[in-house]
Amino acid sequence: MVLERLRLDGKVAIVTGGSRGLGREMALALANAGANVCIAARGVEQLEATAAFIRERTGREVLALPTNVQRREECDRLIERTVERFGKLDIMVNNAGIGDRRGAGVRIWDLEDADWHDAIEVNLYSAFYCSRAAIRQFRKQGGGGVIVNVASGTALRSAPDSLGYAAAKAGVISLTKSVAAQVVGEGIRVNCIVPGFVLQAPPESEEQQQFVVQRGRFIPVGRLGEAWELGPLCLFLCSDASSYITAETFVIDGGGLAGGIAPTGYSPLQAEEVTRG
Amino acid sequence: MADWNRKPGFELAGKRAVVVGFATPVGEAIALALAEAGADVATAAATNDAEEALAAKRVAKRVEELGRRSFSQAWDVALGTNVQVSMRQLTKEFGAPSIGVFAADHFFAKPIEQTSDAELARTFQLNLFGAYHFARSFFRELPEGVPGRLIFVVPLFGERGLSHLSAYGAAKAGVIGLCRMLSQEGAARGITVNCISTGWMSWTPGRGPDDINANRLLRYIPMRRFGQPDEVAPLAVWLASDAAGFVSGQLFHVDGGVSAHL
Repeated sequence: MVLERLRLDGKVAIVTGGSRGLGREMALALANAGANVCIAARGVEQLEATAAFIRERTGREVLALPTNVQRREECDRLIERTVERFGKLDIMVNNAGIGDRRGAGVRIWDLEDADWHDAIEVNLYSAFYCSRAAIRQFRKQGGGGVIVNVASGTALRSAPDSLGYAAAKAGVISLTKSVAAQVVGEGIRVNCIVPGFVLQAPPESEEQQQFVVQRGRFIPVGRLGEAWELGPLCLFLCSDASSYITAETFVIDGGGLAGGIAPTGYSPLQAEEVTRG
Repeated sequence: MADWNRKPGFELAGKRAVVVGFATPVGEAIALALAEAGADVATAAATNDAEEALAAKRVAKRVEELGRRSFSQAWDVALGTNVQVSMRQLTKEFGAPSIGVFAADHFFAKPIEQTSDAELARTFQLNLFGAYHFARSFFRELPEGVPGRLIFVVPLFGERGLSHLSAYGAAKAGVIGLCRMLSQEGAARGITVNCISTGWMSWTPGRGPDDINANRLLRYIPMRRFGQPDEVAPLAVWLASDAAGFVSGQLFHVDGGVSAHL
């Protein structure tokens, strides 16, 4: 049966940025399918809490490794320590990343070198360091293995308020294709998920809920994405169910990129109404 | 702390699907995978070609062997009225499908100078108008308030150029355009519309021999092999699932990496 290919029993996966949001959901989906998982993030407390949550929900082994993926040594150590614990590595999910922390909204003429470097390092260097370390390990094991990178819809359009982030994520998409071509001969697949506006956690307050509803109106399907929706897609790309898919970007954005040339819901049949509004 | 209401990505229990097009093996693989995931699956041949109609019947039988309901028809997707009447009958006797997969395919290759009006018309009728007719009837028959999933299977020739496929490739490009338009129009009704774009598959006409040493096309494909029907099917299941409600207007390649080739 073809859907049995979605099982990951006996596999070992690392998910960076795995303590919350999309990373947490992807790690949960992989563990649910039978994989033992290592989650990496900077904040120890949240990391431990998420590890306990995934263990409890899935019964799998979950390793939590505090890691700053901006640093090469820490990425190398992440892969090393995962292999020490589980004996091998099969799946690397490069999800860690942050919108422009310091340069958010800053125009290019005012943007500092340090802000630019920060955005590129945390979003692009991290994917490079972890991919390289994971592929070195895959090759040591004799080939096979999967890498899933997480980019962003901002990489494919203009993102005036987070240009460093968007440029770095465009780099991640490019890296996906070139690395995929380099390692395809060794049975390693590399793909990329491109999320649109996706909520990291369920809204907790009335205010947050209102924000979510209001922002959802700008998206064709009428709502924001929810982090859990990335779980099944990640599982698909990490499993043998996607065995003929490599170097591909999977956009999950509520129809935004397919349209995006007029206000959401615009129809030429209602041009007068809409332009008046 | 509030948690998500997670929905499964590969379970379709209680859903009804229709798969159109059994001239290539991909329709069969998708229909069976949808059934494996728990959906009732109706099958429709895209033409009244006897062999295709038999294939649709055979797949319907296998769907039933998996313990699901099925219903088999032979359509002529070139005719809008035929598709509408057939979909209405399907809705009556099987129930309105909320998952629609259009896998009809009519390959045609010829230099443009030699392509006749009749050949051009037939190629557009079966590949593009057929997709339009199906999508229109799917939109019409889907009850209000039911989230829909429309999936078109197209070859890479709909977006990338190749000699002697001008009519065929233009028709397939039309299907991709249709997908993008309907992703916007269907959004308010909760209908997602996506394309699966297949590369050089084990059934693609003109692919040459399977022996890598004898086939330079095969050596051009990064994975150095042709794709199999079962490598397309799980993607269709995910797109059809409740976990793919935020995915629309997209084209997903199942192509062994060939579309990323420099």
